[in-house]
Amino acid sequence: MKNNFKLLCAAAASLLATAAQAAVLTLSPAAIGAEPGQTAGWGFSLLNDDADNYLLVTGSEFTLAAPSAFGSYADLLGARADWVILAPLATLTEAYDALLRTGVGEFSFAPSADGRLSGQVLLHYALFSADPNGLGFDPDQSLVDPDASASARASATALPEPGTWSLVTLAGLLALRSRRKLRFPSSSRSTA
Amino acid sequence: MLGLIKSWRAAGALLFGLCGFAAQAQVVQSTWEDGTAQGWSPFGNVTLTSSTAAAHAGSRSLLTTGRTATYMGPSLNLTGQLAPNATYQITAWARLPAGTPATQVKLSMQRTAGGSTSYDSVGSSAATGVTDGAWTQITGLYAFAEPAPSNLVLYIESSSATAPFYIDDVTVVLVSGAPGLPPNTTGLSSTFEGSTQGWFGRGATVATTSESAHGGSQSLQATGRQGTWAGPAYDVTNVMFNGSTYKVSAWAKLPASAGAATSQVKISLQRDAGTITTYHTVINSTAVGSSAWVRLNGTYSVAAANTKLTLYVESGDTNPMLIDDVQVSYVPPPSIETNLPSVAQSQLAYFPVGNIIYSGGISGVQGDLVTKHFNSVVAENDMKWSALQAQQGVFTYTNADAQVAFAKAKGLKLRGHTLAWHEQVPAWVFQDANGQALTPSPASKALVLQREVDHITNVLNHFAPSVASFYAWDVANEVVDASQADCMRKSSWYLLTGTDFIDTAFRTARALLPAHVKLYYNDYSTTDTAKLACIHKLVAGLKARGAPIDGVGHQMHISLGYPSPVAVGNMVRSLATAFPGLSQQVTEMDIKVSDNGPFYATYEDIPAAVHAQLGYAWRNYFNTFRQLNGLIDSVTIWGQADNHTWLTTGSRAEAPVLFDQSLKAKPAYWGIVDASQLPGANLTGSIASKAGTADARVWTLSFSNAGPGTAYGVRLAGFTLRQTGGAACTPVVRTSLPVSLGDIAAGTTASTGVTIDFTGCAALAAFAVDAPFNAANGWHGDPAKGSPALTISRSNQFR
Repeated sequence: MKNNFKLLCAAAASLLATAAQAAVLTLSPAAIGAEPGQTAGWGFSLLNDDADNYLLVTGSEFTLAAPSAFGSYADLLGARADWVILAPLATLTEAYDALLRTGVGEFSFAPSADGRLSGQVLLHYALFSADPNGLGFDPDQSLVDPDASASARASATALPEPGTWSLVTLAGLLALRSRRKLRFPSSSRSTA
Repeated sequence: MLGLIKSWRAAGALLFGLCGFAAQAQVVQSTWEDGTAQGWSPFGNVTLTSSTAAAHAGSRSLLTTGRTATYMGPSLNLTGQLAPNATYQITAWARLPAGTPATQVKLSMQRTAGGSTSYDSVGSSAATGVTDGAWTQITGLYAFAEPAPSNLVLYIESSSATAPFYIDDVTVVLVSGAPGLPPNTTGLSSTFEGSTQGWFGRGATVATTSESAHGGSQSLQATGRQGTWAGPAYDVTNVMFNGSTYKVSAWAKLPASAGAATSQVKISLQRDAGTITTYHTVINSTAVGSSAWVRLNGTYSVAAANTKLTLYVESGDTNPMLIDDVQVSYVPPPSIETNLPSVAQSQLAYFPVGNIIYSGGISGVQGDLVTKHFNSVVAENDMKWSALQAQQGVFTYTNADAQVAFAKAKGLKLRGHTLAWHEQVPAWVFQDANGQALTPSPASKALVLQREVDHITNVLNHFAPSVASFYAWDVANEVVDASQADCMRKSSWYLLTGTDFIDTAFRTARALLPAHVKLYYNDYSTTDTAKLACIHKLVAGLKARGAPIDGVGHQMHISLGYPSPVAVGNMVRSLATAFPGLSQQVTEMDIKVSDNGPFYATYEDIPAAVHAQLGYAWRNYFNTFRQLNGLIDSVTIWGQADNHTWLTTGSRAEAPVLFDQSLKAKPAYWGIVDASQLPGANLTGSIASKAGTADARVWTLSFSNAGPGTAYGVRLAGFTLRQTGGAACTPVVRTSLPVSLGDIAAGTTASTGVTIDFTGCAALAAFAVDAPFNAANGWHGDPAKGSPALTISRSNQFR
């Protein structure tokens, strides 16, 4: 009888899994940047778009079309000691804070990083039919989907160091000045 | 000018070539029956006479007398009569006047083209094959390449400087026009289902049989073979055409009556050209028995003008044989894919990407391939010592100059390669004036070093007008031998000069080359610990002595087995740390399938899965080069395409570079240019389900391949659980790892269960799981092979 009940629950869980809605991940901002050698992170908003099931975050990753020596990603949300759980239709919004270790994840730019990486942040989660923090929670019985994911486009840009900006600005000003100098005699000739 | 058929012109040759069948056009027929010389004239100071004293046919022949040198004889000017690349059969009959000792008579051609004159041999009799007792036929095939000669003279000579001789019935017949596009590319497919399908017995009897078949229900059996050469045959005159390439495949087997015997079976081609017949091996001998069908296959380029071609199967004995499923498929000429991104452009932010050039690699589609995809080139062989100064004091720059001109015309940077090397250096460098090997002495040392200075000086002065195009030069090559206590290879260079030849080479080169041309020490296996230590020692010594070395070249002739990209990165960082500012370049990179097998006899045998591995390997090595952030400042690949590589031998095919034998991009190309195009690039893993009792809980892991091609050899490499919550317990993974999931086609999924014993773990015990997986023999997913990790990494997992 107990086994039959388990089978019934498993079947119900399977149906629920089929009916489960995808979570919606939004990054804020989607594009981050920092100087080489520094770290920046993504804040996020995560909607559990499932009307029946609880969402338990199980990790995140920054996936790229091609590997890079640009830097490395660290999962913040999935690495917390306390479970991150969203009730049905609940939304969690968090800004990135390097000290508080909030946000979905952070990217540490290599000292030699240069340019921009584009990819997506992939957030993994499991769905349960009961609140994992609730009394009497039984993960064996309430597991609906062991491994689902939501994604959002993301980019990480290595920003020029302030000194470099100064050089760029200086170069721009010099170039502008040169162009003006060039224009002046031309204009003079035309009026001569 | 009776007998000289003037209607023949190059257009006729072209038309003939396009027709592609066995018509023959006669260009010359000289019989001397009219009593004139029929256009023939003396070649040298001889006398020609229309003679009635002897005739091969009719009543007259041409007598040559007064000869005083071997080359002297009758000649016929054929300028404008013969077309480049067409093949002609030239025939003459010869006889000596009574009492003249037997001698050799030869047909030769004096040809002047491009300002130089050459003397081509057309055919000859045996050494004493021409006598005064009978007429002897002398015949041969003749062809010459473009350009069209400004002067072309057929002449008949003798190994005797004085013997007079008669000639008669001289003919020049067009056998085959210049090779061109084949008239058809239909090929041949013979399955022998129901008939012999045009196959016939060549000294044998052939018939279909149902005794055994590779495909279908019937094969072709050859019995009553009259010799090893006898067997099933097919007239491929209108299937295989001169100048075209074909894939040839056939299955062979011995009948059951052969028992345990085996035969060495091969596929051959009989070429008939005029009255000349030659035989050519198409597929080498392969052991065939009665227990299983054996495939004979390979690629064959027809380079034989002909009037008839016969493909046949033979063996080393006269045993009966079976053949089945014969395929002859036309291989289109190589062409490049013009819509691909350039390899060099894709790496523009990191380093130039170069390739080799050689005589055949700077023109046509090969030249186009280099120009499109690379921005640096290096002469594969033509700047090595033996190519430039094979004979002391005689420098030959023809090939190297053409290659430098090509690079300059196309705006490609140049690496120079190489000045001092123990191979491809002529023996005279280490010999005295009498050709005897030098022995170590101060005088020998001075002589060899002076020769080295002279060579380097001549070479660098020669290329001085083009020096702006050069950016690097391999000065010393492979002087290190890690098995030697002093790290130095015991070459003739070293035995006669010690290490002075290295220092001298660098100093001489530096004195002649401007600073923008960096000077390199170049070697292979630089990741080997002992070798690397020796290179450290060599560079340190050079620097300590003030020898002007700028960098180290890593040849990177590597294999899928060794070394790992991780080792390459460590090696480069090791040198960079020890010698700040030292330039490092990858100079000769190619990737063999393996050093220890499996090996592949033909290119077609190399599986797609291996090409995928090579693709990911190229990705991982280039990732390593890029991640070294400027420590590598140039990468050169040692081969334009797999159709020209030093690694492929007659018995072993390799696919070591970026483009295949038809110049098409392989996964290796995509590994560098756009790794998302590699087969199985979008392979992901997830936890599909958890089921079962706590003591035998099964987590089903699912692996999905979103393409763009098959993910080859997918395997779950590991599975670890780390407890992150709940009362401490120790789950045990019962499944043996790794787990092979085989190939996963694009758009499909494969799963495997991992059984875990959670006995003693509470339901709320939480774990982080890490399940690394990979494909392409680890090249996709295994960090040990330089790949980004593929893993199912999840926290907050319950049992």
